[in-house]
Amino acid sequence: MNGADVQVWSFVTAGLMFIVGLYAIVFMENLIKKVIGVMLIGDAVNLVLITSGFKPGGIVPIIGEELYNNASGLFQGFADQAAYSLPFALVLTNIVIGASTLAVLLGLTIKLYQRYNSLSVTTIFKEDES
Amino acid sequence: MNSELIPLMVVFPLIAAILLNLMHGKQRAVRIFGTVAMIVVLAVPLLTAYGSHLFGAHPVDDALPASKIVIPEINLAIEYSFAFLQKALVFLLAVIATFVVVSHTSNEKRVSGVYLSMIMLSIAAVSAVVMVNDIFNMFVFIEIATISQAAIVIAHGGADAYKAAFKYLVFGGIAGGSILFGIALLLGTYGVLNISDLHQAIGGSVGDPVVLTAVALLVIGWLFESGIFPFHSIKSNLYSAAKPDVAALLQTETKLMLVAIGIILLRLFGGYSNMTAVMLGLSIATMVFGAVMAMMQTDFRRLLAYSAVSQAGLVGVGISLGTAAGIAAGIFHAINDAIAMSLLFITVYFIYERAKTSDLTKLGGLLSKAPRLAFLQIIGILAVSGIPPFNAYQSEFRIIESTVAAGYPELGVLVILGTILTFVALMKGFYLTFLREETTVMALEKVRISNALPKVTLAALVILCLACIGIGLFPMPFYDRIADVALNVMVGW
Repeated sequence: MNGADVQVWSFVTAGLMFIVGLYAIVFMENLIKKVIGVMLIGDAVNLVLITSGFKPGGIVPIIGEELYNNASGLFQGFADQAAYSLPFALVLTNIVIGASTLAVLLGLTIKLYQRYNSLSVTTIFKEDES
Repeated sequence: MNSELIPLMVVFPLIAAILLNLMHGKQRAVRIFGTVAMIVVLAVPLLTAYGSHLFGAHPVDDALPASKIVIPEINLAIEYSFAFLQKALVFLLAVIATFVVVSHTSNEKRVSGVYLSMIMLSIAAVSAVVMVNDIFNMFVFIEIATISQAAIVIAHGGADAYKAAFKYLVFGGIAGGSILFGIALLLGTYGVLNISDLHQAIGGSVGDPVVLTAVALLVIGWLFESGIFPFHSIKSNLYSAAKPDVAALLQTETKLMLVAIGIILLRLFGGYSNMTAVMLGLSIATMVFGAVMAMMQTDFRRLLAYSAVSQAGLVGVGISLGTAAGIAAGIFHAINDAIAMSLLFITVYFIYERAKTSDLTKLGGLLSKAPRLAFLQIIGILAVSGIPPFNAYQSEFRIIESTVAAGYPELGVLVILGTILTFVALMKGFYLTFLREETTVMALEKVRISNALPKVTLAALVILCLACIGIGLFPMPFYDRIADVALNVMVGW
């Protein structure tokens, strides 16, 4: 599988993860599964970002000391070869946000379980629908 | 006046949030620091000069001399812009948040550092969304706002609060994922995140399917953050599960985000008529559904929650028209409605605190006990309903005017009908609470509601009342400057 194929399949996988996550949120009965759905959506987006920064045959986007000292003129060659680094920074931020959301969601799930002795959406949200 | 203070509007509340969290349990320290922090939060937007602030990068078009590294002409910094609109929105948020914080520190026996910390976090997040000129930072602070708003509601405790917060976070996950997905597609297509750069890169045409997908995904995020249909019930659930004073803050934050994200969408894709048509259609649906749902409620908090959602729809109508007049009227109404709705939520907060219920089937006969509160509430109702000479009249009139000018007179009729429905719903709440005879439940439970309002509550209500009347009588100095902002939103389309 060459680099371009990897990129295409990564996008396809991300799309599938997004759809599965959405399905879990909308149709799954169990609160934990809904939480997993939310996380799947976040991970799908992370995969899209990582894939968009991926460059087939690219190099790590860090200008080392050796490269800097030996370079003549501008770093155009390096810029052409290096992977795009910005998406990786975005992914790191999104992972932190995802972890915070997950912590609050799991905390709420525990509270709701303690109150209703169930993780079933039908049981917990029954009063709201009536 | 110093534009170097711009980042303080975000950085200070963030630091205050961390410190308040650390102080949790130390009652005196939390009380004093919470109050001092709010004074700073109030003062900073007033002391800050207009301008923009770049974080950790270079000014636009400025290459670093004597360097081998190519600095592109695009600006890679995180950028905050601060002008009249940002000043008005951030200051409004600070005023409402101050009431919530001071009310907590002065009325509660045990103050919570974590609770105040979450309020600070939400102030920082919403202020950043209002000022930011970078779509990724917009996403980050939208997520922080979502988590902190859910946490503020959770602090109220009880099953309803937990359920509302859970739903809010789950749907927030979908909306956040959509926004970031959209950002990833834009980044992949244009390679930039700065909104001004994106505006130039898009260059007045939206035709690429990838960009169209990004537009759709970003609009989903806007719908959620603004509480616009189909997410209206999530927001109204959140408001009604929160304490009414907190709901005042939440609805203010929602309207600020509606305006801020709405303007960003218009700057990026304003000329794409399908996008504005979808936004307009869903805003109309929210305005109508919200007003109808408000009529059907038997709980005053839920009634106000749906009214707030309906008014958000009205703001959305103005902004989605995409004309300078519509955008200006929408922004103006967001500010006016946030003030008037806060006034109403705070009057209900007082009733809820004393009666321990906001159930309209149980309330009644409060006019003789608390005529001052009744007077202040009726001012809020008249203001929200767009009755002259109060502030929302000025903005609702301008929204109707701009719908007609945009060639949708029938939409103007719908706006009038929505306003009438809101008025009837709010008057129903007022009648059942104040005008009808005291109910048996109220008499049996010996609810002690007196005319003597706590000083903090009274001060907040009087300030909001004066703002409603002041802006209603003298709208032009305010509106003219908003109209100037609106003129620049659609530049390039």
